[in-house]
Amino acid sequence: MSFRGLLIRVFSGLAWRIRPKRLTQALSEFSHIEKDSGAQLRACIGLTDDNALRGYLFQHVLEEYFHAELFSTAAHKRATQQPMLTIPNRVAMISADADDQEIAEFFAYVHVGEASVNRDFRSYAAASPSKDARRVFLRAGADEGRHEADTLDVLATLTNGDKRAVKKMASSAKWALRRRQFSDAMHGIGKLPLHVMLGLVYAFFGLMARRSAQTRLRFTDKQSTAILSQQIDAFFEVPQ
Amino acid sequence: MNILGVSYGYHDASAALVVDGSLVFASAEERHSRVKHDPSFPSSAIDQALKHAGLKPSDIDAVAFHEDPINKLSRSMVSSLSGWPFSFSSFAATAQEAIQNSFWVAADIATHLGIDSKVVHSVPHHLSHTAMAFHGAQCSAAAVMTIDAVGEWTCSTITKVKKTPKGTQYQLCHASPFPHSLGLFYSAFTAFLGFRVNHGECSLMALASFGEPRFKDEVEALLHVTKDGTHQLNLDYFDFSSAKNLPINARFIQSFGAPRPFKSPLVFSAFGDATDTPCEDQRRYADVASSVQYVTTAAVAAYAAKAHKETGLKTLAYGGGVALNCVANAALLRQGRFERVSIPTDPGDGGGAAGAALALSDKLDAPSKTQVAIGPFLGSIADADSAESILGALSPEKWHRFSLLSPQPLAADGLKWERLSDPAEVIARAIALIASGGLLAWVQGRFESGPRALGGRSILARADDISVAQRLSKRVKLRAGFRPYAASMTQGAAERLLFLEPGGDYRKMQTAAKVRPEHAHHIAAAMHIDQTTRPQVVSPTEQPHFHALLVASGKAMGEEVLLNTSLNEQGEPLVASAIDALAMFARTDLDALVINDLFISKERNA
Repeated sequence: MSFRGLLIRVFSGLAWRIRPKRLTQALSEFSHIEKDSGAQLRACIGLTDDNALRGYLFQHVLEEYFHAELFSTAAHKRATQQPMLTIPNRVAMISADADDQEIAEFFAYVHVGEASVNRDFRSYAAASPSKDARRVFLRAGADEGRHEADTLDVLATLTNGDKRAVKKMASSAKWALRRRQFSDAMHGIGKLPLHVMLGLVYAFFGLMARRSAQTRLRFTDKQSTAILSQQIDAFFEVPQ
Repeated sequence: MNILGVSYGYHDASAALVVDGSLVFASAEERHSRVKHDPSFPSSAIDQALKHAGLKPSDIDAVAFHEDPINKLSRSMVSSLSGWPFSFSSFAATAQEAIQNSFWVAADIATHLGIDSKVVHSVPHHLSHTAMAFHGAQCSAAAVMTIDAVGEWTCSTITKVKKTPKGTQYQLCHASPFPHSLGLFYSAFTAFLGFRVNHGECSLMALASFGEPRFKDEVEALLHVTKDGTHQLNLDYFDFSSAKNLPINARFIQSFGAPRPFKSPLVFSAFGDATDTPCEDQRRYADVASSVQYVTTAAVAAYAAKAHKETGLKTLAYGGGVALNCVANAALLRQGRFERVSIPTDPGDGGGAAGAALALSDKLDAPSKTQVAIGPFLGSIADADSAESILGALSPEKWHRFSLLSPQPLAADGLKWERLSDPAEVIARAIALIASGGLLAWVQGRFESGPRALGGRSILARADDISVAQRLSKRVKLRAGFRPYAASMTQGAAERLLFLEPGGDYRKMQTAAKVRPEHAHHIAAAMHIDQTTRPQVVSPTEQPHFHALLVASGKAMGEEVLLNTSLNEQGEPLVASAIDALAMFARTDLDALVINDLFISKERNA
């Protein structure tokens, strides 16, 4: 078992038993992650002329969407408030004009990601106190294991069987994934000093500004009309 | 002159392109990113806009952003500080938004396109809506009314707009200040009734038809419509300064009872076939919804009356998110003050980019510019070849694996597709399937701008068979039973089936209409419990292929009308590309998919 797997089993297991709501949240987030994976692969379909690869990508997309549905259904069953149906944001992993090299690098990243998710899902399944959730993790994990092997085959085809190139791309994708995991983990920690600073500004500045803020919110229709009129006039004003 | 319109940062980010005064492309980012109401930078929509017009970023002469980010920031900051010391979370969110986005909008856009930030212009939010509504109306002068949640400091406006030899002139007559917003009022009740804000407003409107407005007086205590037609919120009931999910307080709950909890059932059915009786709480939710809709309708009508009085014009062009409320829009028509009421296909923030670009075009383009009429089909084109190229990759018996709904497995040779070179053959096959009770995904050409499916990305079915609509709700759309479907029909069918109001533009599905009782059976599956429907009257000149389909439906099924609903799964944006359509076809219980001339059908095991 990897160190990461151990951490997941110990800390996630503990957190989910202490606060079951966190498991619901995690299931919902996994649904978003799976949906995102599907969408990233979908974006790649239009970039290749290879029909076999397009077919493979399409099937892979459908499986990721199916996993998203499994996770969201499990989350929905446990939820006490409306979960987010769709992911809040998506950053495209492949550019709209990607060339063959970029497509191969994308597949290396997908391959490494699938391997990582496969391992993680097994750890999450072991950590989960809920039978339903465990079943979903294992079901999705099994598919991801197959995707890990399939994407390696695709990568080999894309590099014309050049094993060194595959190894190099996979290694670079591994580091990119680690950097991303580290950056995600640090995100919350990084927010702490910002919030402390904002808290201080809010405490002092807010005390002074509260009254004038409340006055500004009492502006009349007439004042509002005059201000917006000026802004519209200023917009249409042609600079000399 | 090439003007790119851009909007992002809150919800429904979008991009639009105006070339020499004409709007040639408009699309929400969600269609490409597949994130519903995606607020992020619309890079994919911009790429598609440029690709459509064959332009490079360096060909862009000017960029219009749909609002003034600093002005908006000042309002958010003031709003959060007014709630000191209980509004830290809202303050922190505003401050982070400022640090990450508000100050850098022009620079971000310029960096993305590789152009000079000096060509990026901020257009006041309500001016963007006004320009969209006015140019969509295709007239020489109009009273333009915009009603929104909030844009910068303003919630609703009335503007007199006219075309002159010197260009388009905008004369603002009235602006109501934040927080006196009809949009925020409606959204607060949307959240109270357990629906998602900026998403579930249509559910509130649908639920309203099952109730009685017995809370009318209580709701009027929250939203006061003045004698001169403006509206004011009673802020004793709301809390807009903190970042709470429910922007209401204890006093609000005292008046209306506990909010509807998540997962609490709503047994109402738009088809009138509910098997359970609603409990007291469910009746309360429906009655609150009905009261809110009643007061909203009255407020919209009063503000329109003010617009008429202030401008003295005969045409009303109406924009902003509240313009999607088709029940209030029907009341506007019944009011009969204006000879004509025009609402664009995307009056809300999704149309902000197009509106901003049109407003900037009014400023920068020559006054003599010629404008092409703004139609609804402003998105990317569907590419049937891309779908056909991957059809052989999946073995038909595996298709059922990809949905939790597990439709009946297909026969071994159950997935069939062919290209039909004769458009009449496409129509004949489509109608045969629909007439036999099938569910057809209909993908044709460019996709629609805005939330309504108008025959570009639609699911079509018999309008006279409730069992077909029930299968659609349960096996494809996963849709709550209280939400009705809409219908597309020819002008002749509309005149036979509906009570049409004079002056109404029924081409864009923006207005509800009462169904004539003697013909209700023709449209039973697309009719709400209150005997109304949201019709799209299809023009033979604007949409000849879709019109021909409707005429064929008349020959096959007795009336030129079809149930028409958006081609999307639950929680997903409207399908854009052929591949997205194919993915939905694989995952749901749709029977056939037509992409331009490509006809794909499933044949199931007996």
